Amino acid sequence: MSPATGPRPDPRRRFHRDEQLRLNARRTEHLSWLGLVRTGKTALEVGAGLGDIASFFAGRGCRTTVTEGRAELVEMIRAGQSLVQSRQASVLDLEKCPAVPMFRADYAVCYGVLHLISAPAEALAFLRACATPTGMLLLETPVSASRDESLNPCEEPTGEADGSISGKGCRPTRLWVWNTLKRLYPHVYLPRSQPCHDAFPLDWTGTIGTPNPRAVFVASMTALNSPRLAGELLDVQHPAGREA
Amino acid sequence: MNIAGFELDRDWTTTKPLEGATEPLEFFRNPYYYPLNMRRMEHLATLGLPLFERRVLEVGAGIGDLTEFFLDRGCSVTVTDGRPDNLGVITKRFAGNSRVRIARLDLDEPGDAIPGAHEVVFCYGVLYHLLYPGEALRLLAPLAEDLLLLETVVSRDADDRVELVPESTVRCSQSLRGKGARPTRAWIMRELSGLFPWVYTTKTQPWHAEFPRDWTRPGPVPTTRAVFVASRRELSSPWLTRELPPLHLEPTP
Repeated sequence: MSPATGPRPDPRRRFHRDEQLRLNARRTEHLSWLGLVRTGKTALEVGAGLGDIASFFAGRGCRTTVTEGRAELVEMIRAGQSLVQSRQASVLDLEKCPAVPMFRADYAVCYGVLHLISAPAEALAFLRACATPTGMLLLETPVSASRDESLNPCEEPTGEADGSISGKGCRPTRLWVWNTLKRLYPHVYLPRSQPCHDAFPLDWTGTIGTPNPRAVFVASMTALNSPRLAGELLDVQHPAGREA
Repeated sequence: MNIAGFELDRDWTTTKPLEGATEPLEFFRNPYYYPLNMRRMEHLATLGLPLFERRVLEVGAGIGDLTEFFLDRGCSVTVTDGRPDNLGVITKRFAGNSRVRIARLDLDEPGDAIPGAHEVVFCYGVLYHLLYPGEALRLLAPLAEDLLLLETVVSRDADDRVELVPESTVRCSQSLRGKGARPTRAWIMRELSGLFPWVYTTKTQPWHAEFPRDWTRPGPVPTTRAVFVASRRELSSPWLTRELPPLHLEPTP
């Protein structure tokens, strides 16, 4: 406890505030709409917080490993104080990814994390190393709306349980994410749809009305034959569930 | 009480027992509800139903945790609940949102406070808290110009009947009158078929322990739930069926 700031608020109140519950709901509805996740597979979530997104995979019968950079949150998950009842919880700081992956997973899940670290290319390479021969990466991140290929490093607040650990983050452009994934995976896709939430723009060609626009990417070791995925960096998407 | 791995009678963030608490947020911010809500709405999102930019009547809304599903799809929503304390939370939550209208509606004793017709009536997690579920469906059916979306706890039995069971009245999420209904799936299908020309259940179930995928065997938890869609027109979704399936498909399209 800091005398200046008083007791640290319970992280669960941070992760389950109304706007975060709403964001998570729209994200997992979109994941469900994409129809990529099969029961009985393995999932690895990085930067999992308290495992709200991981519960999507655990609920579908996937053996789910949860990793998080904050030891405090990992202890809460192990103690059953999260939505994912996983004893497979480990501390993993994405700023210091191990050279040799200690996990293998059919689904590597990286939602709302990439912008909170300073070296996202290294983190994505680590996630690629965790993929099984048929594995895929499900990636969601705030991005910069500009159309060039740039990482855009930035300062990030560190005070909250869902904030950056290092204080250094980034706002990569979609093209940066796309090309980085192309260098790592044989197949990279953009969903034709976005989550039904105003943080997820539908038209990337004009002025983006939201300050931290978000995008979803799918990268896979094998070709995915889904009409809900595009093999190109689309400029116009539609809300999940509403066909273009 | 432990349901689906979560202690329902305790505030998740403290050790203070919930029983006797009067603040609705304490109930609805219990971790039991988070995965239940997420899995239900993920399921609804995959059914291929026309749910964008509709006029929606939500009944038994609690504190409005499911309302944003529709608001984020461009809908306008009349949000109703039978409990004034829940309505107080809803009012604060959606203050200033011009697409939200809030009204009190007690489905067991509606009186004259009956809303007008809407394109979609959304009735999730409500029917089993009522004394008179048949009357409630007959009240709601004329208010649904297009669709009635219904999710409820049901009895696992295969026959056509409804029973009343005791419920807590102190929990803001449960019955107003101390008893709730446990209809069978067959009872709901028959009741809805008398009110709508097209009645469906879903080929898939939400990915949650309370939604059985095999109705022929006992499940892992005592509570069992099912989803129904009643419509004024035939629906072409491949995820709907007019039969009551004993087995559901793996819930991934």
